Amino acid sequence: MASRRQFLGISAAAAAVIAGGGALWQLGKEDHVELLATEAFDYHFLTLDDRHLLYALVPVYLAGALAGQTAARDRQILVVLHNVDAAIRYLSPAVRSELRDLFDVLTHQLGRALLAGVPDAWTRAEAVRVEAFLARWRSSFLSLQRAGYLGLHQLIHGAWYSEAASWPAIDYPGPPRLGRPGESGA
Amino acid sequence: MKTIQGHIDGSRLEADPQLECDCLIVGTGAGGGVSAEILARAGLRVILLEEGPYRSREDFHMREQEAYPDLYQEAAGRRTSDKAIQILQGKGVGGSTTVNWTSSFRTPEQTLETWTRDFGVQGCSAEELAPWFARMEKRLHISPWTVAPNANNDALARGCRALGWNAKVIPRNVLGCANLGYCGTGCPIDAKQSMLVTTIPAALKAGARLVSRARAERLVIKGDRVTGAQVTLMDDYGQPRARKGIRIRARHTLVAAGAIGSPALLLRSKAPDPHARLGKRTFLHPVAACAGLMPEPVKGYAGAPQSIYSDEFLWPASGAGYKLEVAPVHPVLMATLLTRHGQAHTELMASFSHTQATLALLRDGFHEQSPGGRVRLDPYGYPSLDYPISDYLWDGVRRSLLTMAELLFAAGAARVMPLHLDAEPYRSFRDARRAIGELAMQPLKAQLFSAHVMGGCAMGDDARNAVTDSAGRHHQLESLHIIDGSLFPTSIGANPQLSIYALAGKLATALADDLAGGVQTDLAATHNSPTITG
Ligand SMILES: Cc1cc2nc3c(=O)[nH]c(=O)nc-3n(C[C@H](O)[C@H](O)[C@H](O)COP(=O)(O)OP(=O)(O)OC[C@H]3O[C@@H](n4cnc5c(N)ncnc54)[C@H](O)[C@@H]3O)c2cc1C
Ligand code: SF4
Repeated sequence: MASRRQFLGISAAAAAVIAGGGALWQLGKEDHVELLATEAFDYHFLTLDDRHLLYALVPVYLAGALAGQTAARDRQILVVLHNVDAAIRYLSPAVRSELRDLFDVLTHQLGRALLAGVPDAWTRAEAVRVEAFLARWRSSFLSLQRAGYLGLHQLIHGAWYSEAASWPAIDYPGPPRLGRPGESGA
Repeated sequence: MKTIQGHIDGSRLEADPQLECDCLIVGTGAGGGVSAEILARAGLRVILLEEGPYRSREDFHMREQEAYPDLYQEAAGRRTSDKAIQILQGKGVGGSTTVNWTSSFRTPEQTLETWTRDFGVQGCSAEELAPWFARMEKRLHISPWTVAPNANNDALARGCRALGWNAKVIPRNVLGCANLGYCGTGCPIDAKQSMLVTTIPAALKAGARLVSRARAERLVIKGDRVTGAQVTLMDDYGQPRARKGIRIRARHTLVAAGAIGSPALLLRSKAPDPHARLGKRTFLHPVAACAGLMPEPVKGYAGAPQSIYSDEFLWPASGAGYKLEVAPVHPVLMATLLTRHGQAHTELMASFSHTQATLALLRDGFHEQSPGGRVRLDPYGYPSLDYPISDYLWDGVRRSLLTMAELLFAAGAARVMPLHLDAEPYRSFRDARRAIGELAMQPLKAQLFSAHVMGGCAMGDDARNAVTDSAGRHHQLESLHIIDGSLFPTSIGANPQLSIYALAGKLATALADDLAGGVQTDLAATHNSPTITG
C-alpha cells in the first residue's frame, strides 16, 4: 500500500510538471495544496492525491451551498473530506476496493485527461472543466460512469448535509431537543 | 452504551469465552428477536449473536451522521451488484427493527394464498396465522395511529381523496410515541416497540446471553448436523478484528440474519444445496419515488414517518402492483436522493422543508417475469445481490411514477419531480405525464431503493423448490432452522415486519416445543426467569 501511494504521489507531481512548465511554482502558490498537505487530520483511506481530486470536485458538486469566502469554504471542504474518509471506513472491502480503483483512475494523469476530460492537474483544474466532467458522467450511456458520478455524489452530499453547518440554508432546525444531559445544540 | 446482564461486547473481547448453548440464534432482528424470547422463556439456554453493535436510547441522537454508519448495513450504502438499487437494512441489536419506520401490516391474504397454492407452504393460511398476528400485535402494541398524520402523510391522504382512491391509516408498533419522526435513526425514547426494547430484554431476563459485534462466519457442519458456529469479532467500524475469532457450540442453531444475511451465511458454510435454491428468489419491494414541492411547509422530518397508505394499485388485473406510502425527509436522505449537483441541487435543497416524498413499493415475486434476485458471495466472502430488473418491473416503475405525479398534483404540489436522472421538476400533470412516458427505464437512470429485503431461503415442503420446510427446518441439515424474512417465497406486498413477527412466533413456538418439550405460551405475560440448567 505504501509503495502504491508513493507511486501515485510521484506520478501526480510528475504530471503537474509536464502539464504546464511553471507548474511547480504554481503549485507552491496554491494555498490549498499547502493546506491539504499539512493538515493534521489522520486519514485512513484518502491519499493526498485523492484529496486534491476531492478538493476540486467538492465545490462543484456543492456549488451554491458552501461559503463564499475562501478561508471559510476551505474549512468546509476539509470537513467534507474528513467525513468522506470516515464514511469509507465503514464500507465493505469490495466497495472500498471499487472506490480505490475509482480514485486511482481519476487521480492518474491519463485517467484525468482521458476519462474526466480535465487537462490540468486537479490542483489547478478549472471549475468549468470539472462541471463538464460531472455533467458528462451523469448523462453517460455507460452505466459505470453514471455509477461513478452517483457514488461520488452520495459520498460528498452525505458528508455535507450530515453537518449542522449545512442546515440553516435548507431551513432544517435540526433534531428536536429532548432536554437530555450532554445534548448538543444542533 | 448501557451495560446489561448477559451482554458480551465482541469488539472488546480478548479470549474465547468457550460459549455453549441449547440454541444459538444468529441475528437479532424481527425473526431472531421474537424467537429468542420464546426459546429463552421455554427454559432453553439461548445465545444471541449479532454482527452490529448493541445500542440503546441514550445512544440515539437523531443524527443521520451517526446512525447510518453505525446502525445500517454497509453504512446505508448497500446496493445491488449493478448498483441500480440502494438497499437499507439494519445492523445492530434489534436488526432492522431498531431503525425501521414502525408500519405494521398483516400479510395480505392474496400473498398467503399464493404461497399455499404455488409454493408448497403449509400452515400459513390467513386463518392459521390469525392468532399469531393477534398475539404479536398485542405483544408489540400494534394499533392504527390515532394522531393526525404529519403534512407529508396528509398530502398522500389528500391526493387520494381528491382522486377517489382508497387511503387508510397505518397501524404502528409504538407505545408512548412522541411523534418525533426520527424512527430511522433509532427511537430516542424507547417508544418504538422494536426487538431492542421488547423481546430481546425479555429473553435476556429469561437467561439468554447476547454477543454483539460478533459475526457468524460459518456454521460448523459435522456430517449432516450443525453443531454451532465459527464467529468473527468486529471492531467499532464494523470491520473484522485481526485474528479474533471464537467458536460457539450449540445443540441447535437458528439462523435469523435477515434476507441477504442468512443465505450468505449458508453459502459461506457451504451448506448442502442440491437443488440450487440457496440465495435465489430474493425480493426487494423495489421502490420508485417522486418528490413534490408543496406551497405549504411539509417538514417531512417531523412526526410519525408513515401513517397513511393506499392499496389502490396493489392488485391490478395485470402488470406489477404497488403500494403507496411516503418516505420521511431528512437532510442526508434527501440530499443523496436528489441526484443533481451544483446550483441545481442547491436550489432543490432550498425547498427541503416544503418537499413531500411519495413512494411506491412494487410487489415482486408474483409473476414469472419477476423471479427476484440471487445472493452470491463476493471474493471477500461478503454477500452480493444480483437483481436484474425485467421489463415487467420497469413497466411497474413507470406506471407508479405516473400515479405518484398525478397524486401529488392532486394534493396541491406546485412542482413534481420523479426520481430519475433525466427528469426535471414538472409544473403540471400534463408535462409530467408526457415526460414520464419517455423516461428511459434503465438501471442507474431511474433511481430505485429498497428497505424490505425478503426471501433467499424460501420455505416450502418440496425440497426441490425450497431451502427449508414450512416449519423453517433446513431440508438437508439436522439441527438447523431458519426463521426470518428470508423464508418468504415471494415478497409480501406490504411492509414485512409483522409478517416476520407472526411467522417467527409460530415457528419458534413449535421449535421450542421440540427442543424443550412444553412452552410458556403467553408472550405478554410478566417475565419470570426460568431456572437455567446445565
Ligand atoms: C429504514 C428501514 C425502514 C423500514 N420500515 C419498515 C416499516 O415501517 N414496516 C415494516 O414492516 N418493515 C420495515 N422495514 C423492514 C423490516 O424492518 C425488516 O423487514 C425486518 O426487520 C426484517 O427482519 P429479519 O429478522 O429478517 O432481519 P433484520 O431485522 O434485518 O435482522 C437481521 C440481523 O442479523 C444481523 N446479521 C446478519 N448477518 C449476520 C451474521 N453473519 N452474524 C451475526 N449477525 C448477523 C444483522 O446485522 C441484523 O441485525 C424497514 C427497514 C429499514 C431498514
Ligand atoms: S416517531 Fe415515535 S417511535 Fe418514531 S422515533 Fe419518534 S417517538 Fe420514537
